[in-house]
Amino acid sequence: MNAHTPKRILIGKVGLDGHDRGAKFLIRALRDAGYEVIYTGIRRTPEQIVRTAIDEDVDVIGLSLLSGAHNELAARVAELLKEEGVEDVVLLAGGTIPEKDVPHLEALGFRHVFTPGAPVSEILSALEQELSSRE
Amino acid sequence: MEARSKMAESLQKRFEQWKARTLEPAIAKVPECADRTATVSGVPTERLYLPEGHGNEAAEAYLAAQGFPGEYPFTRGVQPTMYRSRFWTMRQYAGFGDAEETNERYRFLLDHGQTGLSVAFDLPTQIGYDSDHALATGEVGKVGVAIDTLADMEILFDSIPLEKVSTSMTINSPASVLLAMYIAVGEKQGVEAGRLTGTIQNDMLKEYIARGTYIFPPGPSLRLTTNIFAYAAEHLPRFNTISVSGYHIREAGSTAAQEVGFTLADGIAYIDAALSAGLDVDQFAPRMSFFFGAMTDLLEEVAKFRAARRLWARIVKERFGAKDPRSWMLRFHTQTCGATLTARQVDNNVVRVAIQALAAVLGGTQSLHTNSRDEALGLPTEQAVQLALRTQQLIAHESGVAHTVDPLAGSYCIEKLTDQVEAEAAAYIEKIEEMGGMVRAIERHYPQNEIERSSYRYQQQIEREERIIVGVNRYAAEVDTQPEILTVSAAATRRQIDRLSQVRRRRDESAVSRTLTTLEAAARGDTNLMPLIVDAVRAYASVGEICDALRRVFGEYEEHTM
Amino acid sequence: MNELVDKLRQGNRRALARAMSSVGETGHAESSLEVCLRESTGQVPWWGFTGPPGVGKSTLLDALLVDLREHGRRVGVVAVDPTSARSGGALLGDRVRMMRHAVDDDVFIRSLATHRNHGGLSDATLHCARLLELAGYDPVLIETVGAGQNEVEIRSVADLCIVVLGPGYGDDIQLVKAGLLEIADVVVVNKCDLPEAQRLVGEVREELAATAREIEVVAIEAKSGAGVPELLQRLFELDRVRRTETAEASRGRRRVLGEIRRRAEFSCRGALGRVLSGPEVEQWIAKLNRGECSLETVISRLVALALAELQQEADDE
Repeated sequence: MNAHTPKRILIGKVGLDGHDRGAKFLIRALRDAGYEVIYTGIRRTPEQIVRTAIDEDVDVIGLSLLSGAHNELAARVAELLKEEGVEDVVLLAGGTIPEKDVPHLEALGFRHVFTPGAPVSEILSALEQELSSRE
Repeated sequence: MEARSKMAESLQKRFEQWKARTLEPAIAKVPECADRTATVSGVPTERLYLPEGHGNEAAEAYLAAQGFPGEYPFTRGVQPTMYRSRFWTMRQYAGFGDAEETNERYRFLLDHGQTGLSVAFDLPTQIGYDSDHALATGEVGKVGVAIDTLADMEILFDSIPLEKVSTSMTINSPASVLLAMYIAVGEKQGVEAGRLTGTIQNDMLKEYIARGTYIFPPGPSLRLTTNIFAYAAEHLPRFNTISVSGYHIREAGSTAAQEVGFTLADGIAYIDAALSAGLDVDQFAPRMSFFFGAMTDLLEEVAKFRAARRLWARIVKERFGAKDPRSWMLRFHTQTCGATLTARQVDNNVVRVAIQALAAVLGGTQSLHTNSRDEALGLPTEQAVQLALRTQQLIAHESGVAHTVDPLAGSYCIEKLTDQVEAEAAAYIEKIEEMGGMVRAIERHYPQNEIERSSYRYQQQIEREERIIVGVNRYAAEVDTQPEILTVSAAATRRQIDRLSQVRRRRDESAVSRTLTTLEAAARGDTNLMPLIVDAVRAYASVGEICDALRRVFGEYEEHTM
Repeated sequence: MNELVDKLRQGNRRALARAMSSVGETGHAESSLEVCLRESTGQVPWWGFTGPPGVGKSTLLDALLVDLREHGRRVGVVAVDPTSARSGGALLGDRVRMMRHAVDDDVFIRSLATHRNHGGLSDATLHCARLLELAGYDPVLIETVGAGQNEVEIRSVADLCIVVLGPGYGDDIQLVKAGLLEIADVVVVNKCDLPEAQRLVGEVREELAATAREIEVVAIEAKSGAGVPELLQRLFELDRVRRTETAEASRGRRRVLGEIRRRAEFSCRGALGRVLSGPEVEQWIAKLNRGECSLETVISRLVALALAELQQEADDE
């Protein structure tokens, strides 16, 4: 794949929470920053998210977690990715995630965890950093 | 109150009329409180400030646009004495974990001066899944209390006398089921349904527009909604069966005018639905209540609430021809907007909430929930909840704004903003009417798209620092202290699932399947489903089982927009 | 190469997804994979779906997937969305409406951006569609950007062209319909629960009658699935007719020709565009204004310049 080909990002809303204002803003910001963005819509299962990530051969998975079930759901996503042998996808998470749960998510393989109010510029530069360090 | 020599003659005359026909009866019923009649310095506060030194023409304009509190068009408030007689209901939304923990929190709040209960349910309950459902993994008890069967509801209201306490339940798709459970709990306490007071949110249209906890498609949802209306008209005369919500629309990023416009358009759709179900507008509009958010731009918010009252009064009176003045009154609950709370420098949130609460009070809200400072990060701790409640109490007792009705009226700014918000909201309503009403507009994604555009614009402004959020894009600290966050114990989830199994073991299975079969069959026809849901609930059928029976008939709604 | 083909035939999704990502920028030398793929085409029908944005194409595909699965078919979908000219990024928003098929092993959905091709298809579209065929998906559904004149590209690639229309687009619908109806094998009008849609069905039938082509107009309501089984039957029928009329080989040949035409036109447009914004144009216009030559001369000279440039490129290889 050519270096000029845009990177592909999956933004997944896993869990029963229905608030997608942040996700909808983020996907547009990512598009404007030159990424190809696939959005799953709300109320998706970890299985749906992982399968989509594989079929679309994405470079990044961003999970949006707003219902408080982040520990369980993020763990399930990480588990499924491992089962499928997916190792080179950048994992990011964002949502109502308290500081004390961040180490757990990082241990699962999530490179960055963003809390509400994190400016998009922060997310974009973290993303850039992760992707360039993999090239 | 003495007559004012400088008031225009026509205004003076109408003022006397208002006093005689609206004010005096109200005071006779609920007298004003002695401690709300003066400023802290001892200057007497007038009940109602009116324009002075203007001619009759100006007076006529005032009367048409604002009038008197407690009288059409209710711009200045739905009661003549507002908070001089009784403060707004201080109603803090609570619920987490299982029914026992929540029951404890309720008793704490009631003991500490809260005057009504507000129930938050967890997502599985809101979406009609039992706690042991696959999709409930990790979600049980997280954003609210988990209720699977009547047994949970009984624990939730243990030692809480339903004939004394008013309960507001934030429940929509399975509102019929939870309402049925509330009725059944009342029965067990010996309180007959007619004496129960409270509200169910029961506003499905905003779920499709902004909140996302829908189960069934719009048609069947509206059928259930009107079933509840009809049932309550007969059996629950003191219960508010709908809280038409603008809060979530605002939280999703709408403007103030959109919040009012889309919410009132939803209200119109509900009245239309009720009418087509054979109800009379005066039979059910008086029981409609509304729910708005309070943002931090205080001036616009006060104007927004006044505009909403005036616009709704006009709609219900002129468009629907309602005769009962109580049909014309827009009564509302307010919650300070959670979307404004930041995860960084959480103490700033205390100040935000105080400003927002003040806006709601100056705007004439009937009840108010103030958010806790740590709400951006998870469920609030007891200390944070207490401070949020104190915020309301401070405004009530120490700020003096409760000592007069609609204090900001007459401000050039407020009156202009009120007119502007009303005009813009009315334009939205007309646009939606042209599309054939709100259900059609939702199918075409009109309100969703409008909200998304506003939301995007707002976010862009923040990203570009054209709009400052203190502590986030300016005045951010290098090191941020993290508050203590409440977590839900895994043990609570385990307990919930165990209790559900226990209930299933103990109940009469044949009664359950009988009631569910009857319900499913009736759902295919068009009879009122409420009595059948009450039957199922009494037999300890679960929320998931009842909703699954309905899913088999109605199908599930799939969101089709990005 | 054979290893990859084996993996695809065995249903290895990761291999399929990876192979789809391997299409490079359009080069002149072809990879052995491309050659291998080209040889295998023509056997499986490709159905192209196009139409204005917001009309419900993805929702229709979602409903078709349900019905196709009921018929026991394994279905591949390529969904194309436009690349933003400003940022180079894209919102690939078709899949979100098909998520209920996300964990079905017999459905494969791939979202693509048009990239530098400002038309309705991505260069990768053919590549991905061929891979889906090779991996045993039959039929392959291709959803394209509904953006004006460029939808006609799908005609050169798909065996059946399904044009999807819907009510509520004001006067622009006239312009859109004019181009679209020419390429349609079937016209679908969505949201037929609305009265405006019924009117649209009538309008379209009138226009088609005037052209004396036997194109059916099918009314559906994609969200509820109403009319979709009937549409599918119609598509199967059309497919059968096509099979008897044209041999597989010629279908494959038609696709290759279509791809050649598409890319060749793109190259020509590019070269001409460069010439027209170059210095020669001013000189020729000045000559024209002085009366030294005719307009026809100017045009033929500029075209010749563009072709010369393309000749140069070809020689350089």
